[in-house]
Amino acid sequence: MSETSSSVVESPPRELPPMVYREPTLSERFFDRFFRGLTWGLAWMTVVLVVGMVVLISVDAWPTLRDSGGREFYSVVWDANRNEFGILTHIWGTLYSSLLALLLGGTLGVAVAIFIAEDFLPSKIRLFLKNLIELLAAIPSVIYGLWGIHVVIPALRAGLHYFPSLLADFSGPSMLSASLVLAIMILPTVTALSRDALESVPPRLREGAYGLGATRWETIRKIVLPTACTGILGAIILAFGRALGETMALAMLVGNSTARDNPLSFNPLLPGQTLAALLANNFPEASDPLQVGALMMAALVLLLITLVVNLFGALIIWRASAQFQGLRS
Amino acid sequence: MPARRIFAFLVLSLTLVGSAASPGCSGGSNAVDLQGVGATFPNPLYQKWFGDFHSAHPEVRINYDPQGSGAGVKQFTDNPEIDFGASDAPLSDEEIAKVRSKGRDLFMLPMTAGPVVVTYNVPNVPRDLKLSRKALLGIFLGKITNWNDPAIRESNKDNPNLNLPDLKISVVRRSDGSGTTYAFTRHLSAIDPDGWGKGPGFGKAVNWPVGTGSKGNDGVTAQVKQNEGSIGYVELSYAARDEKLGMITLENHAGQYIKPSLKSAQVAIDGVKLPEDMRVSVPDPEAKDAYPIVSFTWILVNKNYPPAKGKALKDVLKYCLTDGQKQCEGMDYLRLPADVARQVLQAVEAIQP
Repeated sequence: MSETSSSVVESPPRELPPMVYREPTLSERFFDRFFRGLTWGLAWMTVVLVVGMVVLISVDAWPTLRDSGGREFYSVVWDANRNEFGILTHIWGTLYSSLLALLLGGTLGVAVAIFIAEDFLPSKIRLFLKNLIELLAAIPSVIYGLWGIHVVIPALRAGLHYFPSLLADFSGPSMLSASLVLAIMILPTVTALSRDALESVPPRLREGAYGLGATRWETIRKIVLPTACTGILGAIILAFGRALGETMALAMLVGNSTARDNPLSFNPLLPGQTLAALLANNFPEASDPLQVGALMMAALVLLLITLVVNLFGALIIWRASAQFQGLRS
Repeated sequence: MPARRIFAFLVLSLTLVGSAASPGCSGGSNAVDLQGVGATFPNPLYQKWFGDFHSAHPEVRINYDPQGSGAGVKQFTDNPEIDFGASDAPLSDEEIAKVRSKGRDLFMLPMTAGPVVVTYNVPNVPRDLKLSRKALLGIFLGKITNWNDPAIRESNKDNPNLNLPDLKISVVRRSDGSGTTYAFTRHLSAIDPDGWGKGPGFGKAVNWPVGTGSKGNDGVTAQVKQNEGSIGYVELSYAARDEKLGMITLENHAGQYIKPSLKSAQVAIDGVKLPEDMRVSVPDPEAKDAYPIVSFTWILVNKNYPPAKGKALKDVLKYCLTDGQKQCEGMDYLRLPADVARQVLQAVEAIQP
């Protein structure tokens, strides 16, 4: 044994392939530089793109804003024939429909995430479920819209038949129909990100809880969820950002109108309007510069809302992952 | 080496396609491509016309992109790549001035027309429910809110068996800007200049007093179909295609109740006089048998083109206004009246190639 090992030590070091020793050639060096520059440039380009978009939209929106002095923000009347471009109802509808969707989709999504992350199921089935839910994200928005029109609305109507007083208010396309479909659309976002948050809870916390005699339910409720809650909150906020910007399905389902006497209604059975649907509905036919300006302004408001929400969500997720850096290693 | 084999296959097939395509192209050294953008309403007819013309004249290729009337006007005005536009509403004076300010001049050529029908879904009510002008206005102004309203019963007094239910009326209208809305609101403004005209007025999108908005003709159709008690307006083909949808028989200018059909709508445009600028409209036709809501649709062309393009475009338009007109009826559109078509043809002749 020892003899062989010493012979190994004494033998001259095995010749390493020359590749390792060789200095990078000029072309390799050039390529490295070039590639570095390329990624650097492309990364900055995305920043330039976002800033450029904001600037261009603002430039187009400016004439309308200047002429009206910003009355768009508190007016509830959109009447292109009379150059009235109030977007307060649209801002309200955007936030309300998204919050409603978040309430439904968020609860469902987090529950699904717990179910998938906390080995209740054999791993093969878990994988299958996880992929199935992520597949929801691949369905085009217009398909969700059609599904809403032809399945969700008739189903809601059938359900509401048992409540005649509610049915009288129900208009078909409404905040409720839109939010229900929206809830399903944001499900993959909530589930995938919450699952990540749950799985990044350090195993030693879980083991410790079991060690102290906690039941599985207690562990999930008192240890896992509180630890993952920042990440889950981030997931929910990112999903909120997605819900705010959803266009096609909402344009098809939200009803695109508001009650005259109560434009900022909380009643989810009534139709509403959203900023994104307003844009989708009116851009193709808008030719008057004032109207285009008003639409640009609506776009800017939407952009700012989603930007703020997404930044907020990203910040929370970033803090959540930083929190566990020490625990995991 | 599957990758290499796939690559070889690709190269081979590309070569084959290239060689197959080249004889066609070599014959067309004088090939002309025409780009058009505009209204969705006449799109099926335009595609048929342009397709048929291309089959007969392979050297002329016409791309028509149905992005909407607004896009048609905008692109025709601003985008030099676009050879012709199309719109369901005639250009306003300002829009014309904008084209002229670019040193161009244009013709607005009416190409075809179509009726807008009011479609409804009321259980147990026969297909041909009648509505007087007053009742129609009342419903869309939100003043009449129930199907058993006296005004609706009054409109149908010649039908004693009719049992109008106690059911809330839900108005469905377009949420997107549209030529259909333009034609419908134009009619309402014409029959009620003080009420509707000074209220919502007319346009491709108006501020509706009541109702929910659905996207596109198909959106309105779907919602009316699913919703008992709803009423909406669509182009004829959408309601006629669907057996579950009733179409309202409307009262016209002469006080007659007219069923919507291509025939009764044709009557509405038959006597029409084409004004000098060809911005023709019949917001409230006077003929006794005329269906009251009919809208024209226009193709926008420059008065001057480079020679090859100008000639090709003139040939296409001439075909559409002569032989092409025979296609209209089969596709739920209206034929232009003979003397209108003749006048439009004269304008086409005046295009400078």
